[in-house]
Amino acid sequence: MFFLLLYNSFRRQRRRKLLAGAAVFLAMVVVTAMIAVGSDIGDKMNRELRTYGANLVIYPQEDNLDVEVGGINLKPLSAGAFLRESDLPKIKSIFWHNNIYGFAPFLTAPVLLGRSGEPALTSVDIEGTYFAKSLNFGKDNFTAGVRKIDPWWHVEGDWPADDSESLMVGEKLATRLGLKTGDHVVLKTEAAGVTNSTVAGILRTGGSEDQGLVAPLSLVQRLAGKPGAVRRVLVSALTKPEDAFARKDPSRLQPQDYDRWYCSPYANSIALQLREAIPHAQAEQVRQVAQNEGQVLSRISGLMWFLGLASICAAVLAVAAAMTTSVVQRQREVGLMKSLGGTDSTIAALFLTESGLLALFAGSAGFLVGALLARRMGVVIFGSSISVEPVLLPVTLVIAIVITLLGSAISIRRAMRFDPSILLRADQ
Amino acid sequence: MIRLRLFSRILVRSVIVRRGPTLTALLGIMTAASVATAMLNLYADFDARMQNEFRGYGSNVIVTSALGPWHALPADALSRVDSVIGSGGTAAPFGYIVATAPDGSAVVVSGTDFNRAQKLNSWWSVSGWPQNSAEGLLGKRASTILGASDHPVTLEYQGKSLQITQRGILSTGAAEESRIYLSMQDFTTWAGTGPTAIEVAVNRSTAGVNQAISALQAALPEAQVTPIRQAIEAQSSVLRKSRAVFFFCTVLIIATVGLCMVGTLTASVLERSKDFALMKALGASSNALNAFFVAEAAALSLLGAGAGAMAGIVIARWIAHANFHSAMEIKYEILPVILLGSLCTSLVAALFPLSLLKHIQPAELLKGN
Repeated sequence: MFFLLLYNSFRRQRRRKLLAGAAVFLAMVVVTAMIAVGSDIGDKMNRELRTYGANLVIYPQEDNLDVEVGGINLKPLSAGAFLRESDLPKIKSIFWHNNIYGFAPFLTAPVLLGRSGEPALTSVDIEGTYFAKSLNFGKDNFTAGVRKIDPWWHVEGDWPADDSESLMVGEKLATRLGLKTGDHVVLKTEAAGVTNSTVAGILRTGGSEDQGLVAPLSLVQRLAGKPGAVRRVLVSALTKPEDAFARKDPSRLQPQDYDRWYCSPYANSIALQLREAIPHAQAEQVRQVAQNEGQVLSRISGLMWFLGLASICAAVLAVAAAMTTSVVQRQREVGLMKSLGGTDSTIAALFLTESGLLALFAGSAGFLVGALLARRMGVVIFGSSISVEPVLLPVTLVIAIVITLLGSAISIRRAMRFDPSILLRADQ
Repeated sequence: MIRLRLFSRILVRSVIVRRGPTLTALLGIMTAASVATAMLNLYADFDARMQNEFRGYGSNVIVTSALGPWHALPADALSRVDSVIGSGGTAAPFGYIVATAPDGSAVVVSGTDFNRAQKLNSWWSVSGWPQNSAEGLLGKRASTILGASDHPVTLEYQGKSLQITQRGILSTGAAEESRIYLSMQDFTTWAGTGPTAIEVAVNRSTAGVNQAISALQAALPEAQVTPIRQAIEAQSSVLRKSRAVFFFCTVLIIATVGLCMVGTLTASVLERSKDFALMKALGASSNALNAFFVAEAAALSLLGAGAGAMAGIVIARWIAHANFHSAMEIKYEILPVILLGSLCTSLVAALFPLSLLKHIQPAELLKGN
């Protein structure tokens, strides 16, 4: 009997059900899209904030003072210690290796630069680094270099290959010397004598690189006579915004707190893991970048949290309105059932089951469309799709059922209060 | 006149007699309008809010002498920069020299205005800011290598020496950790040179920063004004993308609340079908009936939207306070948009059920079929 009534209600009142279903569907599209975007936005924005550059730096432990102003280093190459290039893949050995977005080593040397076949030589700095070098650690293949960690570098022409002899000339230096892409140049150093090279491209960064040369690390190591040496490594990592716990001194933590600290992707704990992974190295967070990204991220995710709340609020409203309409239209049905001897609880059960079924179907459809919407949004805005976890489906369905039942319960209660004779006379 | 009085009487009576349903509809419209108002207000204020957050990153423009990084800027450069940026930014002067430490090694010494530097570089972690003359702020590495925590350090520059007591230690994780910072006065007296660079944080959008750069260049023709590209690019890309997300969500949510307003009002008109039939039976023309129901829906929605907009402003203020820890400027130009929007929605919502009721015979409806 109950199921027959249920079946008939869906069969006969198709249009009415469709309207209520549409409201639940729309509400669930919004809720699913919001939850999916909200849960992924931290990660997406973290990647956007990597435009600011590296948030961690590794340098040799026993290094003496840098003599650097405005990105120009005046320290002689002979002074200070170096890191070993062969240790660099170990950066990928740390606990949070998946959070290492990219890294690049640097070694700077003074050279005399001139055009091929011309005697005039200019004294400039040449910076060696990786551009997009493939490295292996165990079975892990990854690409390291400035193209990833310094996305604001603009190159006119081509990026040099990491194993090539060609180089890039800073924009200002190129203008001063009249150099352009494809020109042949000579580089003269004490350690390597005269080396021939080609200009692969003109580099514009807005920083000190505009005044100098940038070349593959191996070339600069050879020019400087320092094979396998690296002065410092910049690491760009996806980190968790710093909180009070992150600032604690790890050496004074209780063992279980220490484990929790060590296993959280804070900039400080990643720096500690980098120190442990690379021999004789000191690693630190670059506070300008690391401190502020937490601030910006927490504001954005805070806003998303409010948006999520607003979307659920809107969904509740939409569903409640639709359910009220559908129950109000069926008050006479309630009256008829009551006068035929239906108890309040049976009638309520019938109506609530109907709403629940509606929520289940419309909610599932809403979830599917919402997930598609979130993916599309990720592609359009961030250029990478936002993945929707399957675990979100039961969550969405529970939300759908709860708000649909809540929305209909109020109007069912109201319909029940009336005397059947009044309802049937339709003279309320 | 009589018609108007009759109309308002019916309206008032209908609210009094059907208090429950009217209040439900009103509440629905209010909530919808308050959500829409809060969202639009937050969206309109979004750029200004987020730009503030990005100022934590410090300078986005740097002013140096056109002659090179070691040449001093003109003496009035800082005041000229201040007059260009006004209250829309912060500027701090820095003078750099390379001095000789007691062990003969080179160390970068910088003179600055500590108040301005503190304001500009909020990420500097400083254990104590210098207050008096001959006190210095030492970078973490400089402090360790020079042993400055135990005894004062004597620095040499062009034959002149200066003894500095360490007042605080500076950690930044960057080149600043190898430097020694002095007050600009100490620096100028000792090294005989003024600021060589002015770091400027311009608190505007990307276009605004570019305008500020041209204005600064015009005010300081002898200097070189360079944008710090990573700061500007990161800010514009994060702002653009988060604004897009926010816009998208706002549209979705407003569409949902708009739909729910239509639903609520449709229900409230449909509930009145009996009144409709009675009035029709008593001889009201179709036009008069339509006008009545539409006017009723419009009055209801305007009332609800007005109250909702007020509530929305309060909510938006609270969100701005809770999330950005700062008060929000209320955009009152949003109010007419909300009122007009809900009026249009109410018209759509009323016309749909009226078109359904148009063909119904009053006798049929009143009989209760």
